[in-house]
Amino acid sequence: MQIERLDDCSYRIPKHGRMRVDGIVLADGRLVEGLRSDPCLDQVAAVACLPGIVGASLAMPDIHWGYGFPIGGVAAFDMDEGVVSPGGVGYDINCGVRLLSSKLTREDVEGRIPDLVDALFASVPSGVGSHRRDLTLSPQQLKTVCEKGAEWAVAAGYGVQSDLGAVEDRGVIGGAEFAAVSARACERGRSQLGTLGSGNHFVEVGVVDEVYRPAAAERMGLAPATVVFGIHTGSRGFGYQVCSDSLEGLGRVATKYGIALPDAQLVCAPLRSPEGRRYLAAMACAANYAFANRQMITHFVREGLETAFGAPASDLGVRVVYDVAHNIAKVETHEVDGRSRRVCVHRKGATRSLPAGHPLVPEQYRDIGQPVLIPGDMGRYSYVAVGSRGALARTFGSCAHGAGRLLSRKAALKATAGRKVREELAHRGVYVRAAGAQTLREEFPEAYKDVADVMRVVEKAGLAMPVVRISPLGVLKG
Amino acid sequence: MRVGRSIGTEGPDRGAYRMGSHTADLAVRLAAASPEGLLAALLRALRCIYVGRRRLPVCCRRTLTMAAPDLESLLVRFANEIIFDVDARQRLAVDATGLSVRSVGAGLGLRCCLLLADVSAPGAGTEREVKAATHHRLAVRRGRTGLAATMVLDI
Repeated sequence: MQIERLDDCSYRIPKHGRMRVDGIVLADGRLVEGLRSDPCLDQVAAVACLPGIVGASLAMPDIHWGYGFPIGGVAAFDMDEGVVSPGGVGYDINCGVRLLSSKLTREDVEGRIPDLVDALFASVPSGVGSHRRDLTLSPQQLKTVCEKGAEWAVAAGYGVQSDLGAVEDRGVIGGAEFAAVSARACERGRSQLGTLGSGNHFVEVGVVDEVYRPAAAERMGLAPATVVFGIHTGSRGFGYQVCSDSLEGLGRVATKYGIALPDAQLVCAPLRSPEGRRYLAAMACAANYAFANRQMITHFVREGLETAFGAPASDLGVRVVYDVAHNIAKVETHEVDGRSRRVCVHRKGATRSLPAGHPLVPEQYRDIGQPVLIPGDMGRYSYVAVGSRGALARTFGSCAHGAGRLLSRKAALKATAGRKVREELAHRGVYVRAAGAQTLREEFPEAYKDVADVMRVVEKAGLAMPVVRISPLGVLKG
Repeated sequence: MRVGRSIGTEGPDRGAYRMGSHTADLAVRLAAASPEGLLAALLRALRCIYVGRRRLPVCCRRTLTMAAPDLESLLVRFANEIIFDVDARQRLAVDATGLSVRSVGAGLGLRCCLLLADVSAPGAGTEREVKAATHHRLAVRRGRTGLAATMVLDI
């Protein structure tokens, strides 16, 4: 794959073959060296072949190999000539990250992290096949979840109204049509709401250990030594089934509309077609399910804290800092070739990043920019940033979503053979409670890139500016 | 190719499987003399992913019929059926009887009886969560010794 250096934080895959636009990879020399032999660059080029793509097929600094789209891929499509592709969103629709701050400081939790993580483990349903025996949604309840998202959860007693103001789109995406969701998705999703799942999903207890922008940090409630809680999960089996159904359903649609697919996993439909609209309606249902899921887990984290500290969560000052979706397609307005256009932005393993003053930034953050959450691995650190203007200019208001995987699961198991990952993390000051021992080895810190490398490119490219760095103290893995 | 552990799928061609990897996910390499063998190997591979070497008692049976335009699509649909049963109903297909693949119109039809085990009981749970079987780079290759394919599972 031919790739040309543009500047010290971006590279270009020149338009060739059936590509309609260039590919642009946001990376520095160090990151790009690791990508040269990776098939993810072919995926950037394949996405560039889809009809109606505008600007460029983009790759964030944490890009790695996915299906159809790469993980860390961003692409915008013209509303009249463009397409929507389930492969550009992924199976875990609206997988995302939520960050909670608290009044607790490092001193308050000194020596209490194991008790705290164990309490969270008891309160947050997690692990392989996690289902709730105490909450199985009726079809009507599931319909309401799909239409109202996090608002449903708050109304049902899982959280407080003020939580919603700090969630992307207030935790609900418009256009959800329950009729677009299959009976199978409903069956799969009805007892999984309020569960964390497994794999790379987690609840993490961390502490603010470095502050880069004190005013923004103060606004977010992230003073030095503040104890915070990160939640990473998505739409569970409900979203997976919506994606599988859509891939099946759209299998023959490309032929119907004369779209030549460079990859079977890139099945798509014109945005204006009935099939395209149906996918967006079903995707919105799954996205809202995911918002409700993270809202419920927020409630369970509060319950775990109450158990661990013997005090009401309100006294512990647990508040939502922000909640971002990083697997989603959204219709947004962006400047393209000097004019304002409505486009459908696919972000697969990419987070929205909007600068100060943007109307979609919640009012409480409008003058500092949208909080951007970039979690790292469980042994090192994570970042909270704020969106900046460069993201609108370069990436349709998008940014990296994490560290990016470096080793395959198999390679991670090989690398950790005979090692005691839990003890190694304990030596680094991180207490881990995992539902599955194998998951812990597959997710060991060095299986991921150093998120500091990603953050450096994000800042240099003007996609977001770091506000604080968070170090992990305890992790609950699914 | 190492032959996957036998779980008793009937018929002369039981196929073989080997686990590989795909960044964050799993790749399953399948080989068999026939389409039925590929499907049998896929079932055993999924069983291994879900419960390893544990033997679970069969609790019920289910007749499965499905059609697909080609063998690749049939493999994906068959795998997604097994994944759905586990995720939604806590029932794992540990074996299949009467597995047959026939030409139906321009495509293929599958028929079998899935033998299901309960994976909701304490101690009988699954070890992994599988989101879906994907079409990623999936192409059945036909060689002198039979059929081969690599399926990527989203974990």
